[in-house]
Amino acid sequence: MSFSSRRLMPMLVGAFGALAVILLLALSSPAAKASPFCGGQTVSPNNPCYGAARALNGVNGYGDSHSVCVGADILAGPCSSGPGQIATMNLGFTYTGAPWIADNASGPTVVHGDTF
Amino acid sequence: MSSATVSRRACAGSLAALTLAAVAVGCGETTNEVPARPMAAASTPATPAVVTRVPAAQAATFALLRTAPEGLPPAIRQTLRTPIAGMNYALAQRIPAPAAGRYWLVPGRGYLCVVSQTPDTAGVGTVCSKTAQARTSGVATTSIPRAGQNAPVTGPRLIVGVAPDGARAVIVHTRGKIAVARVVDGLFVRRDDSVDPPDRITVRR
Repeated sequence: MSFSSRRLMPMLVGAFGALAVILLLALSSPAAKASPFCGGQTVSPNNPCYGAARALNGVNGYGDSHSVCVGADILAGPCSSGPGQIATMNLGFTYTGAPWIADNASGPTVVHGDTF
Repeated sequence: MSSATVSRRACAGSLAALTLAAVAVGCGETTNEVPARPMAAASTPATPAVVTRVPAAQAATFALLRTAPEGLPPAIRQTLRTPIAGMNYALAQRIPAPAAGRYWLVPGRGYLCVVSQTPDTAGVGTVCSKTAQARTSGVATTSIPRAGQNAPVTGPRLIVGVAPDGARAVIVHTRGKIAVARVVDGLFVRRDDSVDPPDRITVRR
């Protein structure tokens, strides 16, 4: 084996290995865990309730007396069409941000949300 | 020969070390983990066992549930993961709505759900209504395109839903205003410029 190939092989292996580690680090993030937010809070129209930022795969929410919309930061999920209906946004990937639940109907409502 | 052996050992050593490092990093919590869905969390209704067949009360009220189910596509199931509200993904009925996106009616335990994938909402959306409520008002999902809460609305509100048998129209109540959507083959679609989801939906027979 020549001098250059002796030096080249470990360097190549090292480079590929480092790349693999960097990729793994980049893809790693805290796992989403079931975590409630805004539970039992009264939310008025156009004044959404935000939970603390966290790692999440999705957001659940419902309002006791009105429909709600759910989302996280700039991600907007679906809206329910009446009280007690559960609206869920499933992202399919882990996102770190603040979940929200909004009452856009007329009058305040008590809301319940959780992330998963 | 000796240098070649050293080189291979060096390579093997490097590989082993890097593999260990990669495994150590990979042992952390990653996006590939399947997270547990909230089970009877205080904030949302309990997650009951998945239904094994369409509940009689739902089948008796929604013609769509009396046809052969298509089931949810694998990609949608992958995104949804563990069902909420006892939804059985295999019993999902495709809602042939004349609207952008894809919609399914999915029976659950005590709930009837609409699963949707639309251009205006992130990921896969689900709206579940209690069966008793769905039997009187139908079940619908609403998408309002905007870049996050409090951001300006960027398109029309879209409501897609399934009405109970015998419904001729649904009345969409939003902040004291009403709008009527005709029911065709048990389905209704409403596009309008409202920036709010409905307060409620009632059925006209």
